[in-house]
Amino acid sequence: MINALTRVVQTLAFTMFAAMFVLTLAQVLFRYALQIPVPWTEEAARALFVLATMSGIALAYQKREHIIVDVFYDSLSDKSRRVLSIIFAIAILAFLVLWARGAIGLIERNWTVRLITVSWFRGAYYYIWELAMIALLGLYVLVDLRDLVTGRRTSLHTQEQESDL
Amino acid sequence: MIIFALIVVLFLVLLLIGFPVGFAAGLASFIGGGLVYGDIFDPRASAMIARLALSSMDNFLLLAIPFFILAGRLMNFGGITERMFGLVALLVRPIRGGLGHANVLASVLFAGMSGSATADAVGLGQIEMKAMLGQGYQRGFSAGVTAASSLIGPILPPSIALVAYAVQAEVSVARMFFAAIVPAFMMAAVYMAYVAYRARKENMPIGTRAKLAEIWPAFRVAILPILTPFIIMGGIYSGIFTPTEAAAVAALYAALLGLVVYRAYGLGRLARELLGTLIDTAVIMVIIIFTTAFGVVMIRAGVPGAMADFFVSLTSNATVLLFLMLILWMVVGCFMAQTPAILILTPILLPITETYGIDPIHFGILMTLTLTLGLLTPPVGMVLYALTRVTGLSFRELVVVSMPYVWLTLAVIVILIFLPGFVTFLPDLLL
Repeated sequence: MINALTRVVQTLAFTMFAAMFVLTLAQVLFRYALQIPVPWTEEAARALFVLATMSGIALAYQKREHIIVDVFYDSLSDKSRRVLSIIFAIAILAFLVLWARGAIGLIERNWTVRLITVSWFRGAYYYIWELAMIALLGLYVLVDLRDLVTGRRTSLHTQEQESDL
Repeated sequence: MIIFALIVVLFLVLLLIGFPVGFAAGLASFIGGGLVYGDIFDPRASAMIARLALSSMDNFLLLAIPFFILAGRLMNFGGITERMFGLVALLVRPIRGGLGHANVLASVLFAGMSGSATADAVGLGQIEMKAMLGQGYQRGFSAGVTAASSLIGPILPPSIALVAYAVQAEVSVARMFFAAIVPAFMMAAVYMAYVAYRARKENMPIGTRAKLAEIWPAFRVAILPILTPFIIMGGIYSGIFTPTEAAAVAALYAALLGLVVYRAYGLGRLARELLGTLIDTAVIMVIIIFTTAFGVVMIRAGVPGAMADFFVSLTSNATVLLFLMLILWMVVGCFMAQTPAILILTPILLPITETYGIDPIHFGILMTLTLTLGLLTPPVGMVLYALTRVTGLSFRELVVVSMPYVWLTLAVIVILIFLPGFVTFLPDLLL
């Protein structure tokens, strides 16, 4: 079930990301090669970027890609890591609840707001997608929490999660 | 104020114990936002942070980050780095210690396509190590210059760290890019001077001058990727592209080279790299959005103002302040990767520098450069970890052989502190 959901989100995110790339290039092409300014491409590319990135945040958690400072964490024993990971999972869930509450309030407030050049797109759609991705992320964390408590998993992080980005 | 100081402490503790950086900033933002409204669970605080999270992402400039990441990822495939190193090695062959110089120069060229030091160390580093060891260069010397030269990657444009700083500091990306060129070349120059010194002292190999018949075929296969930085910077300078469009064009160019010109990979690989880019972008963006929100909360609570007062009480001299910052960045760089550190520190430190009249471009270059050193210093030292697999040396041995280059880079930073003109003259001249 979760794997199927992940595949759907991954496909959607990939499509949005690729479309954003094409639109940005199209902007240059239309401006110089065809001499036709197309103002909606920038706003549409920005919207796709926001939506794709929100999806990426959830997917990055599932792939254990979020950046951590692992100096202290790596020095712990397996048992201590497991205890700390349980605390982390609960803290992430608390963070997601606060985030989701904010997003829910903003859906209502932005229902009548529309993008200037892509007028069919309501501002609320951003927050609906944001909420959906918070829910997906929450689902991943809940599965991790279950695995940590039952001992199927000993750590929330992998060994190579630090990044030089 | 004490409560908000405790929020900063909570944020730092979460970071140090291994809580994901973006989520730590998010949690601290929600708690801090609640305190601004007098109640942690105030719904207005949640709404404020959720809105800030989204609005900080809705910026066309930020699209440059995924496009530069994609261009860098694609340039690492299909023998592009081998072709580039082959050409440079031929050109510097008649110089004593030529492959040491080639190592630095190839990194300069690679830096013009990719903004990652680890990509340089692992991709190009493997080729450089193989070539140097094959020609009888000492393993320690080869590893040291390979590690050091990879530091040029995150400095010379296109650099993801510079885009991240520009967005956080609200300064022009183009100015940041042009400001980074001279410091990056200064780094390359001091590394090459050190290579020349070691080459003479240790009587390193020297080769014959390459004939045109050798140079031409190497040039022909290497020229197309080498053009990438010129397309990016030329496009931005001439006003043809915005930085974001230049990044998209660079990614398209990299894809065309790999798919059509060199036929190094197919559409499947391209799709995998796009997905990888999306994930890389998301891990940066989650930090950007919540450190931005955290910065806003801290400003509302008056934390940067209080910190500025603290620094003013220590010194009224801008140069002394920059040296204090240098120490702070070095400590932070030892524990945290460059871009997250920039994203966290910029909203807190930049308002302080305004009090002292420090140019934000100068400040940004100094911070980026100093934090880059963390890639070569324990305990994190990502480049060194990556190079343990490539060089066959232990982490400790790599720290030792890299140390002279850390001092040399620090010398460059000190010069730049005293002579900000090295940073600002190029953007002032061209933009």
